[in-house]
Amino acid sequence: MTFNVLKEIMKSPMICFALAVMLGVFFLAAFADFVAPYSYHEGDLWKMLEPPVLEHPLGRDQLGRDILSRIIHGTRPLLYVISITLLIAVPIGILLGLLSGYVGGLVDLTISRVIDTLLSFPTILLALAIVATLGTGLQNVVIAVGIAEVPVFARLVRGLTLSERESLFVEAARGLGAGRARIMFRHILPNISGPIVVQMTFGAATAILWAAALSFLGLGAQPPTPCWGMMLYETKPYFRVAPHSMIFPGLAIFIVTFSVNVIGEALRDYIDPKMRVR
Amino acid sequence: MIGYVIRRILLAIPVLLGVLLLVFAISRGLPGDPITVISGEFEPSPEVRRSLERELGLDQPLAVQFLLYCRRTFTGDWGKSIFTGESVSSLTLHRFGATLELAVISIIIAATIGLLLGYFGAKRMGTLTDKITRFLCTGGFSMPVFWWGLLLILIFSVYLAILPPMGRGGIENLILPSLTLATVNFGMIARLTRACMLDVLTQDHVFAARAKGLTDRTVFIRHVLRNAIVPVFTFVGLRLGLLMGGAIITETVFAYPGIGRMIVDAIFMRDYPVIVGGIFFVAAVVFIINLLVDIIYAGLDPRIRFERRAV
Amino acid sequence: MFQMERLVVENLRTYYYTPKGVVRAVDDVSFKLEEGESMGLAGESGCGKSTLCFSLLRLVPPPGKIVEGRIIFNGENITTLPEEKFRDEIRWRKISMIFQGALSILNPMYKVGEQLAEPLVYRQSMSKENAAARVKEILESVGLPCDAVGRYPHELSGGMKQRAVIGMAMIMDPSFVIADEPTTALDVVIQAQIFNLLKSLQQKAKISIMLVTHDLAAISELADRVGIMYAGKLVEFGFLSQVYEDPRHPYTQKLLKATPSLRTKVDKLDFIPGTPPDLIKTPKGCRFHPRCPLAKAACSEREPAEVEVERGHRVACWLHVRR
Repeated sequence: MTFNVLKEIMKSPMICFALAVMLGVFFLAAFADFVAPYSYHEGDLWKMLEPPVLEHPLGRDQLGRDILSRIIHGTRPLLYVISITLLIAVPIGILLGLLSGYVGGLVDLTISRVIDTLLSFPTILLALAIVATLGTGLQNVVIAVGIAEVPVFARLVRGLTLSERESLFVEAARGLGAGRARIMFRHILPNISGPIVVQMTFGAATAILWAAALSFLGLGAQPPTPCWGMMLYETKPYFRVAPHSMIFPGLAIFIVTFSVNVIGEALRDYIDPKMRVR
Repeated sequence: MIGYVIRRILLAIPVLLGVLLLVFAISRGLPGDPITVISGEFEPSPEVRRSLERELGLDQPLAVQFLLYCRRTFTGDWGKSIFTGESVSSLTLHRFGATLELAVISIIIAATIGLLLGYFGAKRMGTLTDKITRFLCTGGFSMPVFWWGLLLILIFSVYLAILPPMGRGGIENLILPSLTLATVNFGMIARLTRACMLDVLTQDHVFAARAKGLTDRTVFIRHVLRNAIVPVFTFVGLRLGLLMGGAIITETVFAYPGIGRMIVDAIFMRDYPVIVGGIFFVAAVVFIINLLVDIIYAGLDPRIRFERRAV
Repeated sequence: MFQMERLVVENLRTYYYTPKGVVRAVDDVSFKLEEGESMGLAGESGCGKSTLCFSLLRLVPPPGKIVEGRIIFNGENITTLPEEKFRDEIRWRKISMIFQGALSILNPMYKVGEQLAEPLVYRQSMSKENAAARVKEILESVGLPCDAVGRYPHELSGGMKQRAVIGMAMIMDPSFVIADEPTTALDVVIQAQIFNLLKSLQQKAKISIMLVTHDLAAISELADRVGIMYAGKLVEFGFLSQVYEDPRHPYTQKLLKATPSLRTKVDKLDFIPGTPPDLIKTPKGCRFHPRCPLAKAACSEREPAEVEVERGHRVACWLHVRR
């Protein structure tokens, strides 16, 4: 059966591309020190903003550092962003969603109001406010984005839980004397895991974009960390004279986000086969 | 219907309270001492400090401060900007006007493109057109806004020099920023439109309408469009709300004097009254728009009105 | 006494051209129905009954189309009529349809009254008052209260929705109504009510009903003639008494045995082993032969020709034996 799935996947060039990109990201993150041709924090100031040449295929940035190497090393902060953000948003979101959807009553009312309150703030604004409170730095940016993404997961899980709650298997479990916690985690959660995983990929994509956006505003990682969003912040003043310094890091963000979204959409189509031609 | 509206408004009141609470928490959570910011370089003497504290109401317990804050918010007394001395409320309204312009135009562009793409994607499902459309949509919302904005500036302002890269003025100032915002938003609208269309097209009532002998055009307008448009419209409405305060990045890139940029600048300059006033205003706008969209949604879809679980 | 034939179907073939192959949903089906008569069409799911209904209304969903054959209604060949003419004169006016599972037949966005009146308002440009009066009339005839006009579909129960759908089919006063599984998903009590309603409409409004179902008992309540379909073919057709009391096709015989009756004592229920064939790659020869207990060598070689075993009673089987 898995073989058939793989064959289906191979049919779409876009999905193959996306998977290749993600594998590449993981590979680069793991072996950055060996793969990157130059250091990411040492640069030749005399050659600042040098456009792409053979030795430096993506050119140099405003401190003379090799952009290609910085991008390669930048895969690490990228994975850090994705993992921590999801680590914060997903468990909290699932917990709130399950409680709200299954227990109902006052608990549901309260949690729903909290979710709605958070959703009254545009994500970027919320994340911005949290960073302003906590201080700058990649760690705080990640925490901020993580918190800002909680309502999305909570709302999704709540909706799914509400649907599953009337299912026969829940009734059966209740009849067997299972406690609420057990029903929520051992019975409902596995059944709704599909859409949650799909949302996780989309959550990862938005996490990349929001973290990059906050870094672009200057609130992100401290130099010399090669966070891609930060690279755009640093080279923004020079983008007219040395566009390459801005184009390539942004392109990297775009390609990775695009790949994550493609994978998410493929997962979603796989789980929900409304794509079948009637 | 009236019952639904009342219920919805009642449920919204705690959210408004929550918004006020959160903004208040942010205002108190922001690092830095507002007194130091006001007094500047000079370390104020204890008497001056105490009098300033009393003036700002900082000597009261937090709960009282919160109530004072609520009262001030609703009476429109949002203080003055620490740096420019302007009234925060008038500054906010002024900048909001700029953002409103940008947001509305962006959403119109995004919705037009999105609806068209979604419609054709659904109509030609599975064909190359559909695949290309989906590719474009995914590309659209995978785009880092700032990068795309800078790219557009590079192309149109630097190389082609036909459009201004920043500021607010006439139509030409709005083109690039609204295109940037539209790019990020059309994809989601198109994807939703396509999904809704496909869903409705396979519904039995569409077939029944055709069986009743209605013309294709009537069937399309009364049964396909009428049903599919509801979720799309809701989404576009919500999106518009979020765009009001969420255009921060775009406004920064294009140096557009909107409310988003006002807040960002205020954060960097620690202009607390402006920060608090701005964030609250944006949240309030989103809150009102969410409420309106919910009510209109119930107006459009009769099934919602009778739902007892209005939470 | 000259009786006009209400409906004549001749060699009808309706195929679906799918990426996986050609689905021969209706494959050379022919039958006749006289004026004033009603018929039943029985068969398992997927045997082509619904496609036949769609063909009569010329609404076969793509990738399907009527490939061959003629449908003659009240003496007029409606297969060759231009689409507009068919839509104006025949569709819903002379021939209409009661759908199964009233669930999403009714658009949840519009009130019931509006949907019933739709053909009147949009096709005949009837005034709102006249349409409302007609809708009221119809609602009465199907046993719905007057205030159903202003209700939305989700406010009605399953039985009420089905009545509304029946009313919708009657709104233009057709002479031929196809009822495609009108009582699936309804409980037995409501089922009986619906059938009584159909019977009364049949008598009072003098309509011919084509009841499409797998419920043989229901057919015996309403129909004068019966057709049995299997895998796209009409394997038996005749008057009710002929088919039910003297079934000649092994499939019909099995179907009847599989239906329990309250009146006769039954020791064990018969069933038909196996599953219906793939309509793309149909078995060679008689399509039923893989599951037929009486199959002989000839059955897997050639498709059986239709034989008239008595007047009005036709069977497509090499071994059209009595039970």
